[in-house]
Amino acid sequence: MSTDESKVLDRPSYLRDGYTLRSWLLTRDHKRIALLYMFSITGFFFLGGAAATIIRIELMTPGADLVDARTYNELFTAHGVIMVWFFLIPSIPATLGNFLIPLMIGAQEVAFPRLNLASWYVYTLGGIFVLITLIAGGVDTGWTFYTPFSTLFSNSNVVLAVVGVFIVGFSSIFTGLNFIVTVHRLRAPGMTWFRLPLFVWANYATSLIVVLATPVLAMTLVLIAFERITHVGIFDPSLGGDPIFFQHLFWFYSHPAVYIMVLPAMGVASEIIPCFARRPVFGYRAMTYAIMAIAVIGFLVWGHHMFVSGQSMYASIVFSLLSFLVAIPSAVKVFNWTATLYKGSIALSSPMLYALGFVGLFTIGGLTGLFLAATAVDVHLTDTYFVVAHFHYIMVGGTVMAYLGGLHFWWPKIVGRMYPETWARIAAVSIFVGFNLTFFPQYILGSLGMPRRYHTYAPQYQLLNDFSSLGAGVMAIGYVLPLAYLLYAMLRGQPAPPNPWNAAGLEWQTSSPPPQQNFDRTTPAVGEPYDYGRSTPAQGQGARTPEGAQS
Amino acid sequence: MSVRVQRNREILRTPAIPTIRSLVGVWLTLLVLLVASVTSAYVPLGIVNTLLGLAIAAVKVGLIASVFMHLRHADNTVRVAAAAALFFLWVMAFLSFGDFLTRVERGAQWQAPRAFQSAAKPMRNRLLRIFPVAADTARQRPVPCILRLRRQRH
Amino acid sequence: MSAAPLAHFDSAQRQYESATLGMWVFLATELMFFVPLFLAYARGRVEFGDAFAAARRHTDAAIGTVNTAILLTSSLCVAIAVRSAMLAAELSQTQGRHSAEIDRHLRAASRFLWLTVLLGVLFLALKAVEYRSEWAEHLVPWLDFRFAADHRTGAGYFYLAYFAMTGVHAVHMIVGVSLVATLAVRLGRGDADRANAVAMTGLYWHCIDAIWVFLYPLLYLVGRHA
Repeated sequence: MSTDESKVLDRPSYLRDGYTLRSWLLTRDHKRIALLYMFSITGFFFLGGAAATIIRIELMTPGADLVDARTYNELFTAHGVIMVWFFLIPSIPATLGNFLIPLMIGAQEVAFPRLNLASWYVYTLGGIFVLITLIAGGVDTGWTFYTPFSTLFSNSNVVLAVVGVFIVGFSSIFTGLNFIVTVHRLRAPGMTWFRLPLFVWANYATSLIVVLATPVLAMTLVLIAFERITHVGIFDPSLGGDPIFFQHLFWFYSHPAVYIMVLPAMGVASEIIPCFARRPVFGYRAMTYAIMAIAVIGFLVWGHHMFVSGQSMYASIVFSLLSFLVAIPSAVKVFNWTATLYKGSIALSSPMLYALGFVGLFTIGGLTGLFLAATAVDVHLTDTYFVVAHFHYIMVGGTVMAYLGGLHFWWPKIVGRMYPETWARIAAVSIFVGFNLTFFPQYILGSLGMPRRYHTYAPQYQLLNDFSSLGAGVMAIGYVLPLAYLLYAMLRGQPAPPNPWNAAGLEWQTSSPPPQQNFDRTTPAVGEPYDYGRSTPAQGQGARTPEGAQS
Repeated sequence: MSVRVQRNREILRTPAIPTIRSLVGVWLTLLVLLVASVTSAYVPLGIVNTLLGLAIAAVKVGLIASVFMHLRHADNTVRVAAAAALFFLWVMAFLSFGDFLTRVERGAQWQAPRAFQSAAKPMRNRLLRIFPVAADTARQRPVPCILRLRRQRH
Repeated sequence: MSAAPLAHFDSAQRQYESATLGMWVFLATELMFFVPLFLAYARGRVEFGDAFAAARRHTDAAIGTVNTAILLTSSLCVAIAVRSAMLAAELSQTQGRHSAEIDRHLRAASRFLWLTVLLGVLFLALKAVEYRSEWAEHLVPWLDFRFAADHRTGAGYFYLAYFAMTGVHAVHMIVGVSLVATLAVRLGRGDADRANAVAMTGLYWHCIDAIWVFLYPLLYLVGRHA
């Protein structure tokens, strides 16, 4: 079966299926909705990045030269709110997930296409509220909205911000609901659960977390707004409330939220690494169990954000133990990715560079998470730059790298054109170098005692802060490059064949870009997942085996 | 129910449709349980009152879910979805209460918080931020632009 | 169970199963939405024992019980309406044409849905009466709250939880009543293609009812006897 068989399509690709603005804004095609999301989250990414840029410039000197304390608080709050809710949480699921999941399971569409479109509009509405908050002067409570500051003392636009986040939470719930039903009900004949690509498993587990945790955040935000407006005693101790109760409610969502951010990234890595090592993923079943274990245990560990809050010591011990437990399935995944490389035929293409970067940086980030899970150590490191470095290693070194890797890997499928590989490699390396230069010094700063969320610091921390700011500059260049060449590729790149990487997976069995109904012929043949190295390499997916027959 | 409809139902595999009798039967049971829970509330039984009230509520919810909401005919996936939220409700309750109930309270002198311009006039502050007025009595000097790149003097 | 499934579903059966799973997942999110309120209530119970019990005696058990009975009856009406709608859709599928029997079922469904709307509005009206009387007794925490001094904090917390839980519930009831009314209108016009929508709205209504069944003992019954 040659790989350029479907150059001539029966129907136009989804990109050419209607050129009007209306056909994009009222689309029910999951692929177009994915692109709508991609457009929005890229905008928010650079907005959040702008806030970070100002922060890093301010932190180049120990004193308060650029911004005052209040503005600094508003900046890191804006950075956190935008990056967490408007970039990281929707990034892989709403763009790559929306595009690929129906393709990967052999379906024509997601289960509820109109709900999918609604979720983008709800996202946009939430985004508008947050933009209004920024224009109205920002909010200075931190993305964590801790009480009693947010409810009683903050002078900023807390209610506006909280409404924006409340709205965008529903956007993720709709997407998650859609994925769960799609994966349960719309798989092609022969696509059993254990033939699903790990990317689908990862997004499925993510959707389970989203659906169960986000409503708790929604109610918590309602309670903040309620207390702020009516001054009753939900979280105010003088009126009988409990500020730590707020933290329990907030972190019950926000810890699973970090798994919402990282599980899809793990799914992307599990797709890229087998392809560019030409080996099936090591321990497929273990990987699926690990994904589900991370999702479930991730719900049980939220108290590790509250070790010094005044929470009971016994509760802290339990949460610490559970946090150690949740590291085990993550470690299993890291070992399996590494083992996938063993005796593989490794090609260091740009997606592979991102994926390998992901594995290494996620390992460092995860390991430092374990340090923080030890209560006694956390007492010293909490609220210092060590924590900041830890979560940036996972969020940026992990999720953002995986997101970019996935964008590159599937860009030929999404836009039907190849991007310039050399520029992609330059960008990947710049991001990797810049990232480490930015955040590794922050581990040291944290262990030396520099606190987080302060706009000034003691003079002895300046050198490391300057390294960090320099690194941020390099990283920023690295981020701007893909914006440029991926857009260029979309318009003027080399036309891409259906399967430029010779990858396994149903999404590569259709043209690049796919037609509106995803597959030109009726349901494609389903084989075992990650069929690398078993069939003749030149044929990629290999001869189509009859359904159910083992090769 | 006619034989024709029954056979069609098997061929088309349409979902099971409950009979009027089963629905009314469940409704009557629910009302009886309601009366039971009200009357038992007025009998002093200590902690058993609470437990009994919640137990009756649980039975009622079970009936509503299994018959009215067709859960007894649904496939396992749907049942797991129904159970999942309940499970996580318990997780959250269990671990949070692990904190509330085991806290060691050490008394401390109550300190009245110092006077602070609270969020009592958020709208006024908001408007001042957008349309700054020369006279300001507060420590906060309203500034129109979110990027306050000038040093603030307090 | 609608006559013609949407394009991306293989069959009507598949569409019904997908809709059902989707609605149950959504109901799980609704339950999780109430969880913080249940936790707040439970915390108050543990923290403020006596004051909580004292406060609970001032809720109106009569209205609460009548409201519960109203909601249970409305659930019956919805269940009967769903049954009729499903029968109508099934007949429309097997017979392939419109018939008097189908019309009969649709009319029955529509009537029972209107009855549900009536009961729902009655529930909300009684709730409004109850809120008004509680406001008159100075039991609203943020509007001139007055209670015995030694129990004031705990009672304030109880009423906070009470208004939050019943308030959020009432918002969901308003949404539910609107959805049911819309469907009642559609079915009344003879639209036989709505069985899925009726079934899913029915699930939503039953879920709101089930949540109330749980709120009722917590807010009205416990500690009543002292």
